[in-house]
Amino acid sequence: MTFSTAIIIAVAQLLLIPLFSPLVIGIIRKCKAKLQGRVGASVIQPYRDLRKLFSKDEVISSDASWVFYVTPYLLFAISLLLASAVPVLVALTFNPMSDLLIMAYLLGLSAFLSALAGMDTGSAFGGFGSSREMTFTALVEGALLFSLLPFIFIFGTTDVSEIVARMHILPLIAFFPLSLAGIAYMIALLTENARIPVDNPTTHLELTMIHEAMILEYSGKRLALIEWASWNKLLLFIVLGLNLFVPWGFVVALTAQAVVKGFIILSVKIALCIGIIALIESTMAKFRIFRVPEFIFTSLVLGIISVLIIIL
Amino acid sequence: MITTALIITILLGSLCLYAAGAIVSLLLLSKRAKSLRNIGAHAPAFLGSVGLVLASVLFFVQGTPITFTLPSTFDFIPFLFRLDLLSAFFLLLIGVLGAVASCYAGDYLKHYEEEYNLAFLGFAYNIFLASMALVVTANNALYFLVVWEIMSLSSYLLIVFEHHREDNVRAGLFYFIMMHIGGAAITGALLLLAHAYGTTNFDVFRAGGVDLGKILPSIVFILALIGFGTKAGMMPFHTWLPEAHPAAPSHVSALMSGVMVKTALYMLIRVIFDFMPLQVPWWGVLLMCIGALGAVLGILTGLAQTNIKKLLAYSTIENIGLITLMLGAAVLFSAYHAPTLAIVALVAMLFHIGNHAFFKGLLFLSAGSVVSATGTTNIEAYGGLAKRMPKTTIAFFVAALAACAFPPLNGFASEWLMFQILFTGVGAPILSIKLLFLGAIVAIALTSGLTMLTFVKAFGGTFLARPRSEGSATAHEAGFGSMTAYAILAFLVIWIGLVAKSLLPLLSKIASSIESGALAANTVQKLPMLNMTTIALVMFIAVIVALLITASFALRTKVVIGRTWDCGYPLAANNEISATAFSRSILMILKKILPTKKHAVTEGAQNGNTYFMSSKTVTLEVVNVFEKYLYQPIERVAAFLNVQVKKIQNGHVNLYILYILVTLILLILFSL
Repeated sequence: MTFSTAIIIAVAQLLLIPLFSPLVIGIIRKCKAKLQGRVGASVIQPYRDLRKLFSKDEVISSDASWVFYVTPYLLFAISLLLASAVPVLVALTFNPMSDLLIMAYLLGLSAFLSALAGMDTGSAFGGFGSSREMTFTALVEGALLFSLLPFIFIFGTTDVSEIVARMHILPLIAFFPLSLAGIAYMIALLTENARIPVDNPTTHLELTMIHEAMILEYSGKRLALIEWASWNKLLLFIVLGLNLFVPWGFVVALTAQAVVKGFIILSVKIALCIGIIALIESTMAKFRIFRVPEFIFTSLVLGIISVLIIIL
Repeated sequence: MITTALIITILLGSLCLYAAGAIVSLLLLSKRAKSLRNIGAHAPAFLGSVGLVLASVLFFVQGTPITFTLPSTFDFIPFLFRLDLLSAFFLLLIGVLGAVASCYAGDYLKHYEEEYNLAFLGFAYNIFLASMALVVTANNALYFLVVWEIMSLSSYLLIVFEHHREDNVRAGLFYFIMMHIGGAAITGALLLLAHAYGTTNFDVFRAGGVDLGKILPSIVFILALIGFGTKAGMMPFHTWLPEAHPAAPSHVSALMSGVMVKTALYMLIRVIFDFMPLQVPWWGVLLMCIGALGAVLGILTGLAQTNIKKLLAYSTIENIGLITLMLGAAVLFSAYHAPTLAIVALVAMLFHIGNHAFFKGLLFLSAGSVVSATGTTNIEAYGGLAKRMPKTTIAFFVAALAACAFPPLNGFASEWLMFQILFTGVGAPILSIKLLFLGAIVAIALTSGLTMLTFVKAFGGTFLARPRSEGSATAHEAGFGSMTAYAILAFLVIWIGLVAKSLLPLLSKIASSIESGALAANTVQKLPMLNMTTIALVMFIAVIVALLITASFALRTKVVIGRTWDCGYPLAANNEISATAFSRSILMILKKILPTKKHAVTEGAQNGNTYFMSSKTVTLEVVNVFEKYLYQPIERVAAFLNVQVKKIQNGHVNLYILYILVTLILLILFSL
């Protein structure tokens, strides 16, 4: 792949991921509504929400410092960075960012910044949200790393582009330990993206909020950026997980036909994944807060088991 | 022309500047010279440190080891110096941090001028810097022990400088005792080596050629580990560090955390790799276990602290744990005849030593400004300082980002290398080694998450939201000297992160000079490292894109400033989350690893009736497991033994004469 092709693909991903992430969220909400016996809002409602928020004025607390003002831009920028780094349809060979450790630490950075923004306005809810969020991030960093570790040991590299490019050579039997790691990854996905059973994204009771509590004080364009960034993050988690754990259909040779076929297969896979997430969210209740660490430790243990199976 | 003579002259010149600084400080003891004491102490220190940096940079350009001797008044302690790549690296660290700390001190010590006599600080400070430079260039065992002792004593004087506070004096005494226990172990190790080689000259140790047998190297290793581990702050000898580092003035804390503990690691590297011909696997295993445990327990205790300097001291313990982990990996690779991997592990270790020195230095300096501006070290009394001390906020922020190892700063570069080493280690053929490295990965993953939490608490509690005390509401920004110090360190933290890839060849040259098993020509040129400059550029572009998108969508919106809404209640300072509450959740979750103790004291409003509270104080502490289960039993045994030994002296002169008689008879029998 030439350098210019790589740049074009990276830019295309950078534009397409933010374009489609509100649609993905809209579909999740519609599925949940149908499962809960409601009609639900239209699947393009998130786009309307973004348009509304961008056109509104903001009210910012007098206690806030530059951290509050700057964080939304940084969070959105990090989600764009990850969008151009995660291999979506094609493996990017020239991308310096496509390293699993960089991705893990950038996710940690976005949690760090939103936690600081939550503490900045000096409201009680924001502070507690930050405390809970950082507690879970501290534990899920390890869980996420361990769910991705099997790939690092199989292929001997942390470069995620190289990993997904070579996934097609694995025999079917290798997917047994990887499926355990897949469950671990699903748990990490639910935790990092503030879905049920860790956090209810649609709650309006502040004492039950974790991620929402940190962004409670945001309004207008900054809130739009933060919401959009979290939707990007969810889509990226789904895409990365699918390309690692369910790699059939990933484009190996760069031809137009393969790209179109890959796009269709990816859409189907994403739709299935969305259905699973909506099912989990509708059939489970949110965990009591001190049960969430057990959930995360389950993920860690599953990751360790799958690593042990591979290295032994 | 860069000749050895030039480098030696600069090095000796720096040492003379330090000596001059010490003497000038003493000359300024009298009351009339009060305003001159600060500059008189720190200007020579600054110049001397710059000299050290110059000497080490010139040495890196020139490359070959330099040995020289200074005339000595003692017959059996020759003043042998040796400057090689490893020494030059540590000299560079000492020089940079010394210069920055001296610059900072010119500003920071202004509020000490009235209460304490800065002349003593100036004297001890200059001697401290000089002794650290001497420690890393010493080439003789007895001479090394002398300068090591000078370093311990001068740092003790610096710790107890604020002697009006009783905690500091206690901390100083604890430090003194621990340093001398360590010193005894070091003396044992070096003297055993000297006995085996027949001389105290390190060059002879380095040349090898003597069969030390099977047991002696391990005994020397254990003694060196106890001795240098005590100084470095490895578990379980670390308990003095969180007491001593907060007690010292902040620029001294920065030096102690940044450089002094690293000199212990310098000598440990020398003893293991330079002086002993072969490395043994169980040494590496032991070091890795100590390192991993130290990292996890260190940061877990650190996140429970509300004293900001104690929090930073525990973060130092955590990083020393990570460095020890890398040293263990290097020893293990070397013992199993994989010298290339050992060199990479040593590179990761040296890189983290340098990175930690810079970001921890910046953390301590900015924390010091906060402490001197607000008058307290309690995070619970801070808040809202981002508006009153903006530049200190940015300095602490950059350093905190580096400490949490976020890209593209220097902390991330060394942490990335550490992960690569551990991933490689899992590929080892032996099962127990595989599992050891896997355990180390679990430990590092856990510590990196906990570090993020600790620094959110430290930065957020100190600088964000509303001021929680009078001192924070009236804090003033630090002065010009502090700003310069911040700027230099922040620049280094950012720059080293960006150019990490180009710094690695130099580090691999240093590492391969130590790892004597590897072919010297086989220096690892192609070390793995991401191209951080590109990454930083991409991050910057992403931020620009984010700004552009926002600007294009939200052109005509405006921002209105209002008060924080909290369900209509008027918000006071205590509505914010407190630092204690912030760490409560994680401490409750990880109770099995580190037990906590919570107690609450309630003051009743009338007649001691606690249903109507006037105030409630909650203290959440982490139980100091090492003090409870290791030190106190040892104390009890030692006290018991002391009491038994005391029975020899029962006051009767007749018994003493009997002792003399018995000793005399034994001596006569022995000499026959």
